[in-house]
Amino acid sequence: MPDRSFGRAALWVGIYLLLVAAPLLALLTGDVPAGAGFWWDLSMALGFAGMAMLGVQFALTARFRRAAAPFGIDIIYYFHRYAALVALGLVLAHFLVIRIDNVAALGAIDPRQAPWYMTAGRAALVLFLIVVVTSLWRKPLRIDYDHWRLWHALLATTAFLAAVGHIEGVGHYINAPWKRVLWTAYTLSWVGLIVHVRLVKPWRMLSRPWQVTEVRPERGNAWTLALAPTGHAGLRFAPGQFGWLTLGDSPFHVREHPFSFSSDADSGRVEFTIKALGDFTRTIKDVRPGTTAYLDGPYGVFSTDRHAEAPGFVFIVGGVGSAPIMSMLRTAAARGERRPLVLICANDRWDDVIFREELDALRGRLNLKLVHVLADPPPDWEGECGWIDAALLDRHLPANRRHLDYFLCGPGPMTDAAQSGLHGLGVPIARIHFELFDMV
Amino acid sequence: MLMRATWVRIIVVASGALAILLALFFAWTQNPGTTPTHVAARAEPSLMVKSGRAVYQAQGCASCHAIAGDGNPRYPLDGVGDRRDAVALRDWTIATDAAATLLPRRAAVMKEDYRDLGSDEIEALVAYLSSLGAPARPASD
Repeated sequence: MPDRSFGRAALWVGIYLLLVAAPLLALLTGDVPAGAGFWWDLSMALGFAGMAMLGVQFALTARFRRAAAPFGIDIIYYFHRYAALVALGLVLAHFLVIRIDNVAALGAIDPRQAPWYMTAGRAALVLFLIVVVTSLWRKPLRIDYDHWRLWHALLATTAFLAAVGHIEGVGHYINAPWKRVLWTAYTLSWVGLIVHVRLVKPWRMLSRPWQVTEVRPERGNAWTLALAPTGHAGLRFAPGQFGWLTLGDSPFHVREHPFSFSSDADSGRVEFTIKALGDFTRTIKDVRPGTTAYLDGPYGVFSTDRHAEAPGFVFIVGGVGSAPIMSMLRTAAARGERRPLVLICANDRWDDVIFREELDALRGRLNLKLVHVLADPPPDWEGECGWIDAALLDRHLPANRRHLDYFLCGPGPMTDAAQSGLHGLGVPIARIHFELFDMV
Repeated sequence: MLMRATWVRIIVVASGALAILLALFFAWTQNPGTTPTHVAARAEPSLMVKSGRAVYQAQGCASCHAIAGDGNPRYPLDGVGDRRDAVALRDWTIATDAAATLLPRRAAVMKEDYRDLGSDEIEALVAYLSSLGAPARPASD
């Protein structure tokens, strides 16, 4: 993280902690009801704390560029995922403390006999559990990404509103009118963010449509999709960044997918290179030029532009992970970059190496050392084969390896192996950059 | 693990810890040196009182009230039989007469539902409430 960003990052972390603590601090001020027993009051406070954390969850995924800029949106989503577990833990603790200490206060479980606000609390708890379980284990549960996104937003909002209803219905602690207004406004403002993300943002995107101008086949079962702005100036991105792409669908349908830009960032061209790996990506080859698209971006901190002071860069990529790196290389070539660059490019087969010919040509325009690593090499292959490990890195990295900045992009096992290899070679952790792309 | 991801974990755990600390502080400041209370033992309850207790349990009164520490401690009923006579207890139970104006609106609305109980059940409930004695002070107090 560059120094200039550190202050801003600390500021946003401070704001987060304040937002989590604010409701609890408000409980302690003004007309506080008399104590009702240590465990009872602890349970109530844990419930409020859990709700405060869950509320901020809506802000974390609202993709506010200014707040995400110092960290990278991928890490914000990682934060969202991790914070959900802690928030759920607090809300569960709220329930369990009462369940253990004073079960009679919970009353009947049957919704026909229980007060509505107790049923709302129970429903919120169950829904939050469903939201977390379906998010952590979406892939093993074989839940389609588009369906999951839609249901995630719907269930999370319903759960949150049910929990707000539970607090309103119970009414303790917020019985002073100003506290009730404050708490209600505070909680509902989070729900307002959902309106912003699902309605306001798509509505704005409608006025900035794009059009597919070309669908170009690449090696390795990948396609490059070129877009041109329709009636607006387009967007500027830094090499290595990504955007959420909606293709042939309304932005209100929330069927968007994150992809890295692969084109030269300074050229004004907007291109994505996408490998056919999943339900959506397998349809890219069938997209017709002229198809309307919408774009939310750019996002991400995975960019050489954020490390202008680096004496050189090393790129370690696997498969279609070369897309953002290609954007960095194309941009570097166009800018006349002279710093030494190393690209270690891992693929299964020689014929699958995306951008193979262009990478070769870029060696003439950049101070670029290109190392191909093949898992399944042809019989006459004389280059590196197998997997990326410390020994391979040691063979190809220059002597000033500890001072270079490293960009890793590829399948998880490859980036894990590259990271541990680099650690073993003494590369400082702060110089190793990669995106947690599974999080977005 | 990675630097950025490690930072995330630290910040999330710190915010969770901050929340728990504030919750503990809240519970502690609200309840300085509390000791449990016990309801004074009374004579063997009558049949009417027993059926009143059954009505109390069936209606889930413990979600708003506590007796001898069981149930919602916000509105304890210990000693209510010493403080109010049967007529007043009936009014407070079903939100009639003066009680209707003294109760918070939301509580009054809930209590109005109990008017649908049979008169036998209401009388039994009142008998049970009348039987509730004041909490005994702990010996050290």
